[in-house]
Amino acid sequence: MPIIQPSEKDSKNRGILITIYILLILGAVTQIFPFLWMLSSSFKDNIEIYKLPPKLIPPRPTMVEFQFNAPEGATKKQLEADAVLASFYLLQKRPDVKEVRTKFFAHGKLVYELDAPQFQAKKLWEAATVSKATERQDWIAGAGGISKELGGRFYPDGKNIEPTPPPAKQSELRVVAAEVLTKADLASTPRSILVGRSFSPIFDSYRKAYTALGEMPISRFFGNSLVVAILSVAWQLLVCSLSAYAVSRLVSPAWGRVLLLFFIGTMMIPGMVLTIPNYLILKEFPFRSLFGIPFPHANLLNTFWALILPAGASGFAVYLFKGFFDQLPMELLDAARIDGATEMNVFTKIAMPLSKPVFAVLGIMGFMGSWNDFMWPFIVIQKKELWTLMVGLYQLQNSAGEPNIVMASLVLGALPVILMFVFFQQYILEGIVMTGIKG
Amino acid sequence: MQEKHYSAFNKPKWAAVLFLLPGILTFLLFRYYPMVKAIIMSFYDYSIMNPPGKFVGLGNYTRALQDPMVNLVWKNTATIVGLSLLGFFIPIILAVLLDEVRGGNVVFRTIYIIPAIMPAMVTIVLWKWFYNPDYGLLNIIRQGLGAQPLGWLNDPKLAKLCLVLPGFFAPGYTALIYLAALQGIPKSMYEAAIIDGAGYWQKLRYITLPRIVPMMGIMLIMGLIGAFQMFEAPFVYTGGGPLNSTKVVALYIYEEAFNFYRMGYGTTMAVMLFVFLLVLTWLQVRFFKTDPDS
Repeated sequence: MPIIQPSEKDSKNRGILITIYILLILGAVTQIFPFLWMLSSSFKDNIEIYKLPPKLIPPRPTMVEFQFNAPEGATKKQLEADAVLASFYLLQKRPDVKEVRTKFFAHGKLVYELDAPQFQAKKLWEAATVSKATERQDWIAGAGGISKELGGRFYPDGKNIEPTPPPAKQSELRVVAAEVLTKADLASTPRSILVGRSFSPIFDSYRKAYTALGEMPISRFFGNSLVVAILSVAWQLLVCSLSAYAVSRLVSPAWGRVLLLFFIGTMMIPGMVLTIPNYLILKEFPFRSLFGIPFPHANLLNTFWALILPAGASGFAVYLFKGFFDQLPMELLDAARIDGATEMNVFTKIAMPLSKPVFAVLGIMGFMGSWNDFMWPFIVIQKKELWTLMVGLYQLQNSAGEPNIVMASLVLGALPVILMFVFFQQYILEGIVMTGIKG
Repeated sequence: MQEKHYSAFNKPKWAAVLFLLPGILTFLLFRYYPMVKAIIMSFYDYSIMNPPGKFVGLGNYTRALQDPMVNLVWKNTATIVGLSLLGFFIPIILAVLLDEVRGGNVVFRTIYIIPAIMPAMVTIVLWKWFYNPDYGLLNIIRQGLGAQPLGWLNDPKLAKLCLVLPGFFAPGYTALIYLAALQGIPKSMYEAAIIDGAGYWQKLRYITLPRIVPMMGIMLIMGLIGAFQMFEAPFVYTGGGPLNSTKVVALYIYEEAFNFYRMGYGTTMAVMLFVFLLVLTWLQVRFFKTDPDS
């Protein structure tokens, strides 16, 4: 209940209420600002992010467009080669240019175009070194690959577009771009060079984080985390709901008390004391030997099992489930039994549908817990391709990754949690309040 | 309730066994067995190649009590936990403020909750960038105000505070728990106080706060239990530096066990931490029992 009751809205209380709102709004700024900063940093490029004083709204990235006249009877391969060469030389010379667009015209019609982003310069360069060492034919093959990857478009019949008049104003960047073209030794002849701004490169940090990090593809870690979180939650809900149902409904009161203590007693064991022995147990799962007799065992380290199986043992989940099952009307369950339903049927057809809210709360809290976990996955998974996103984020920031890419990865790590909150707010709020009663 | 609780049917025993089997196995295997294993391991100079290795009796314990690093990490942990208590009242204040909001409640709740449920790694890496002495936001703000830039995480005097500071900016989770307690205070109590002529501050002082004192006790103990096991923040922010000033108990255990493979010694320190936390938990249970409202 609010301290200020609706019945007493006098002027003195109004002052207090206004103060409360001002404090809450000021507080809200401290909550939102770090996220805005993270978002803003993720949209900056690796030059802008180090600029002082920093800007909250990053400037729109610079773009250069080359227009060429294709040589008579030019093949697609030749045009691709020219596009890649021209793009690469300019991107390499000017890191502040975030995108180079190349357009090739034949008889006034557009026949080929390619947009090359700055963050792919390294890939373009790899192809370029090949071309210099070998015959031009090999180079053309390489250019075809990267053209396809970057979404280069070829129009065999030509495409009519409005020709852009060359700009009247000469800029320093245009001079550099023109120099680059003369050195590049292309088959096509330059028509005009345009300098402008482009919107799409502001997402380059994300594109790079998601696909182009080579050894550390965030997309892979993202998928791993998703798989682990979903399977962990499913396993935990299964194990804990079955146990809690038995404790609540299938055993005598005396057994119920003993078993409940067995399950929720584990809540007192701190995670830290279990870390080392659990690591060793998973290394030789379940036992190396039982009472001196060798026991079949497997090494579950560096598998998702090491993350999923221990998640099943949640005393808190058993406690919540048991409390909920206790409230279910016995008559309903007995009615099903009269109809000859098996205990499993009673559980899946009657008890579970009635308990959707508690499944939802535990499912969502469990998902977020698994998604956010770092220490355990970090210890049991060394294989890079199995890292979860949180481990990946740690390694990325540790390996002196560019801060704008780190920030983009952080946004990707935060996104599922924010989405969960947007869609399942009610369950999350209930779950939070329940952690209060757990104590 | 209890009469209705047990069905008139005699349920087959094997059904109960089948329902309980996965749970009992999982809990035994990942909770009780490792717990026992931890205690046994603490008496061994554990060898991974040839477990369990050499029996040393209480050797690990006497060694831990004489280890100057153990002394240091406990001191560091206690200091950092103490610093984190500086923010203890922030969620309480936030809850009291949120309690008064009717219109716009959802908006405020959303804004305050999202930072509090962020993955710890996201918050930590973000703040690590804020703390960057050259390009970080905090030094940019300081310079904007005309103050000298600070070393933050590189400064042994400041590093401990830097570990707990971000937590002060994410009070939403705990605030929500307090808010639930505040909303349980009966309206009639406030109305009676109004009749007696009590103003805002008096109601806050004599009705609201006394009613959430038990919750404060619970949150304090739960917070302490969590804070004494702190690992991620020192591990990611500083790795225990500078000059071991942020090396905490959990970090030392981790290093001994997984960097130097001294699993027996690491487990011994974990068991000691466990005993210490058990005392805190016992305090919590006692606190909970003396609370008439729960």
